[in-house]
Amino acid sequence: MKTKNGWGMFLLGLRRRKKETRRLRLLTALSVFFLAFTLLLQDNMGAYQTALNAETYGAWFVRGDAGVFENHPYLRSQGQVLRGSLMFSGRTSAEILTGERASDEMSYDDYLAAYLDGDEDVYPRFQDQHLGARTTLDFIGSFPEGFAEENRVSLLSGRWPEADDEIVMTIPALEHYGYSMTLGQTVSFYLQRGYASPFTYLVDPSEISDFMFPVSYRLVGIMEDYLQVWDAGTTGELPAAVVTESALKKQDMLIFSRSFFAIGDAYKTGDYAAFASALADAVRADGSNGREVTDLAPMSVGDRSPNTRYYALNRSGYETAFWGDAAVFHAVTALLVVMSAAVSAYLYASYLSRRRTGFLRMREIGLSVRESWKMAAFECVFSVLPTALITLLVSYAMSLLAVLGISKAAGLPFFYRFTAATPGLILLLFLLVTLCALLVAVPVFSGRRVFIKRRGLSRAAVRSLRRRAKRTEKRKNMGVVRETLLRQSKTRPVQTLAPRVLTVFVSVVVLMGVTQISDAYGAYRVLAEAPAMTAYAEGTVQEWTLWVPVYPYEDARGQTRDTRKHSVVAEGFTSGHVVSEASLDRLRQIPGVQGLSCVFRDVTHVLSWQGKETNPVFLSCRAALAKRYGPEDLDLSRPEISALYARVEPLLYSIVCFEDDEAAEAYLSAADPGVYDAAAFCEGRQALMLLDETMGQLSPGNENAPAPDVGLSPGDAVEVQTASGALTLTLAGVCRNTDRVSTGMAALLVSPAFVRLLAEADGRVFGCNTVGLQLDPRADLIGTAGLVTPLLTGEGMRYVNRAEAVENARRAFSRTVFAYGSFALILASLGLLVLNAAAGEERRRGEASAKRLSRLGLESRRYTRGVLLREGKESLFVLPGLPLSVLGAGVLADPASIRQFPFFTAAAAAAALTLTLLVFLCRALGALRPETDEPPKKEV
Amino acid sequence: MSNDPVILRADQISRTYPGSVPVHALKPCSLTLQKGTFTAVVGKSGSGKSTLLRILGTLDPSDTGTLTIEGREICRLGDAALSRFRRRRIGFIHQDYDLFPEYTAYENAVFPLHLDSKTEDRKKTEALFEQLGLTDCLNKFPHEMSGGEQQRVAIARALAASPALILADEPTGNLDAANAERVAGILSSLVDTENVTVVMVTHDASLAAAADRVIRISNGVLEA
Repeated sequence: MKTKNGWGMFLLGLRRRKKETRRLRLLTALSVFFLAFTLLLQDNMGAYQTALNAETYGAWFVRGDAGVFENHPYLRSQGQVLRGSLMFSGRTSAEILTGERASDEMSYDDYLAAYLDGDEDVYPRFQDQHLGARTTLDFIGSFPEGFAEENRVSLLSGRWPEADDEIVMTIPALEHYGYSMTLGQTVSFYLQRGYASPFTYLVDPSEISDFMFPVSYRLVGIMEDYLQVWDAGTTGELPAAVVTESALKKQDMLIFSRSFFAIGDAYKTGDYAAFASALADAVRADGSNGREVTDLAPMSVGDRSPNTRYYALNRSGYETAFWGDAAVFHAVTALLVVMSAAVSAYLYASYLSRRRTGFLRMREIGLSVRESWKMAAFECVFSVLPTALITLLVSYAMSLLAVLGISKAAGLPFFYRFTAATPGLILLLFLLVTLCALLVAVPVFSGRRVFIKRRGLSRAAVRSLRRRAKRTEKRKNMGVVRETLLRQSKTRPVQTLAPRVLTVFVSVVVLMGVTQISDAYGAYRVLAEAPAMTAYAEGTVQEWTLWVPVYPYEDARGQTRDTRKHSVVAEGFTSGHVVSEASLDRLRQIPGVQGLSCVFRDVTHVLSWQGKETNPVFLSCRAALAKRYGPEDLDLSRPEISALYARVEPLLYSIVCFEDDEAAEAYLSAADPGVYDAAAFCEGRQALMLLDETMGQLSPGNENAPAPDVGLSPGDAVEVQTASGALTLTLAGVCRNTDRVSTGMAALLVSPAFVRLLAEADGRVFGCNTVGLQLDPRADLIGTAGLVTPLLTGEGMRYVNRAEAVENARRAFSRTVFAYGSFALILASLGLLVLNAAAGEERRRGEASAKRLSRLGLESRRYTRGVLLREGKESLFVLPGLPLSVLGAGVLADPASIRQFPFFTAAAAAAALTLTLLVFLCRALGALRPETDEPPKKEV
Repeated sequence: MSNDPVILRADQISRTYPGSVPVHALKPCSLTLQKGTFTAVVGKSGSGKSTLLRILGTLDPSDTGTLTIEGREICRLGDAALSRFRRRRIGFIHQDYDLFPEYTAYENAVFPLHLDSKTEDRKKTEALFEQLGLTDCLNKFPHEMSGGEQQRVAIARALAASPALILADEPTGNLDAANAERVAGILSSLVDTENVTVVMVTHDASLAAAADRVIRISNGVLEA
């Protein structure tokens, strides 16, 4: 035999104890794989989401506003700006003066609503609204080459315009103006030049022809882009119609230009927040022209006065986090690292404790403490480090393959995100853990005997218990077992506590995953089971636009008070599109929103007052407008004015129905005494006329003052023309509209019963389509506006029909199940394996007591039963995870999760019970499985 | 090597194990051992025999007093020096053999030499094995040997570094009568053949009778 030194013998022994170290290596591999794979999975699920968003929303871009815009020096200096895209845009108007088709979506009243009170500047879209065009086609523009591809503006059919008489439009624009999707047809619009007071031409009709001019184009393509679904086509962002640049420049229009600067790839995976912050600092440092940098809210920017200039960054599409929140992401990462370290330290300490005898033997034959330390450390590192390194590589390989599969399945470019810090972190972690375990085990190797409480009971005590146990044998025997197990656990508090903490941690993470899945399922179910809405029935989906008067931040404080006294109105893109419950719920969750008022508001039906030659309300509206804005009289002799009023007349007021019965009753009780009949109102036979502040110009006064005389009296009858005939209502009275929701200059307040009659008569679905938000006076509107739109648009639903929307939701649900389900499954599996190993460890520890008890006459099945009961009790530590996960989901992740309480409770309870059972099975199996590591000794 | 006939001198050594109730395992006592003697330490279970042996073997420190072995004051030595001293001058034999399960009998026996980076002498070791009746066990692992064989391997290990002092803690406790007698005989003969000093803890009066000197210990107190 060759000469060996002490280390040589030590290594020889290490090799021969491969079977013993196999378990340690296996558990190390599991721990490393668990940590590395879950960290990588987390990272790459975030990357997956970002890749999806990039696919949907296009490149990051910076948008500069107002005027011909240069590429900011900061952007140029970064060297990452791919190109500056310049777009010309101009305003359009609707076909109101042509009289060629009816436009059912007048928003005349919106403009006159209270929140514009005092503001006489005309913003382009308001101008459109006044002229009758809903904010469908705010802008016509042209794209420079490459712009469409970079910004994911896709052609659904046809081609881009090549000649000056060609146009490409979006689906919302075509639908709004009543055009079909047929390529080659001629579409016509009015374009508007410059700014003007909204009613200038009403009172001074001579300006009309100068103000607006007709254009016609041939439709050669239909396009869509994600911004429009954010904004439902009410863009301040991208035009809803595109012509050639030369065609646009030919028109003598007010030009707004917006510059979109695509941001280079380095920023797509980098720190968006840091980039945005740096850009903001650079822009502010400019100190010029009041430029600001804001997050891109599809409609908020661009509605400003022309002097305000902004850079906008499309933040929402790219700030994604696996758990929906960056704080939760980091917290879960930290928890994973801590738990892995704790589990590993426990494993190593247990392993070293088992090796105690061996090292003590070596101490007795002359090994020093220092050399014991070195050998123990080497043994740990030698057993662990190669396994850890290999497992790390395997984790990366497997995560790479997983991401490859996901990217292929989802049709995405390969999006793997390699985080260089992760392997370093993991290796450092395991080295630190090894060191900690060694420090824990130092007294073992010092050779010092530490007085340790005897485990179990002394023989005398057990005999004494047995004597007592004879009287009630079964109960007392179990008591002996319980006492034994309890004392065993007391001598090893760390080993007792660690599995409990691990159990709670695993259950918390699993249940948090359940909440994410239940959220996605809830969203899918709502969509799939929701009653047919008009939007879907017509084969389109249009999202909501929240219209918030957002001011430059410096002005917001001064204007906040005034702004807040007005309602913040969310309006349906077109009437008849019902706001879903999910959207309402999300609106309620907006910080600063104290409440919602939901109103059904219809401006599509023609109202005919019985026995009146001229529409009395119309006359009153005209008088109120004239009093407020212009000359005393409006000349109706001019054909175009007459035509205008012919269009405006039936739409000057609306039919409204409050969701809240109390609000309706409040008005009813305040109405002029007349023929008010509660039963008749509730049955849909009576209505109340509400007049807003503009109409109040006719008779100034507070809200308690009598309503102005509009030529109507209680008892007057009005016919509502529907698709299948007229419905008749009797007027109960007239009063001032003090409601927080804008209802237009004049509105007929009806009951839900009448709305149902209307729906039946029209063969459509009506419901809440106007939402007013009551804001907390302390809320910051700027922040609120920034939050609202992303909430409303969620993940940016594409412009699809209902079937596609349901399918998208189903796919989103599947994605969520895959991502969070596999994460939770891996975590739970590895956690269960570790618990199994821990239980096995404890069983080995308790063997001596078990044998002693057996020799003293205790039936082994009683001991087994006691062990099972203990393991069952320890398994119940899953249950604290239930409220903790609710807390985690509600506080850290998504408050909306708590709202799905019934489903969440059921799902979480089921998951908790299943997990409890699994934990119990693993622990019990580990505790009861016979130990077969060492061969039995020969009998002497 | 000194000519002092006293190999070990313990002066007022004691040991108390801390705890909620401190255990005075060994009360202050003094002891001297002559070279080349076979001493038996007898006493009931829990009387402090093993504690005394561990202190004499430098495995546990004494709370009080001094311990001198071969003229060296043990309490002045650091752990490295103490370890070196222990593996060169002291051999241990335990009741439960204390062999390394992953090493063969031969490797167990020469382990102390490897710790000391000394060259093993296979022939010498084989001769020792033959002397102990372990010729067939050279390449066997502990679980392949009987209790008696394992104990004899432990004796071989204790003798590997040619120590001056051998301490045996109930070496026959797990053996049958025949093997116990054989092991006791071997230990006794070591005094003459190897010129070592042997201290054996036992509760077996017949084995103690074979010793040159019997030290009784009761409740941690050495009796004269």
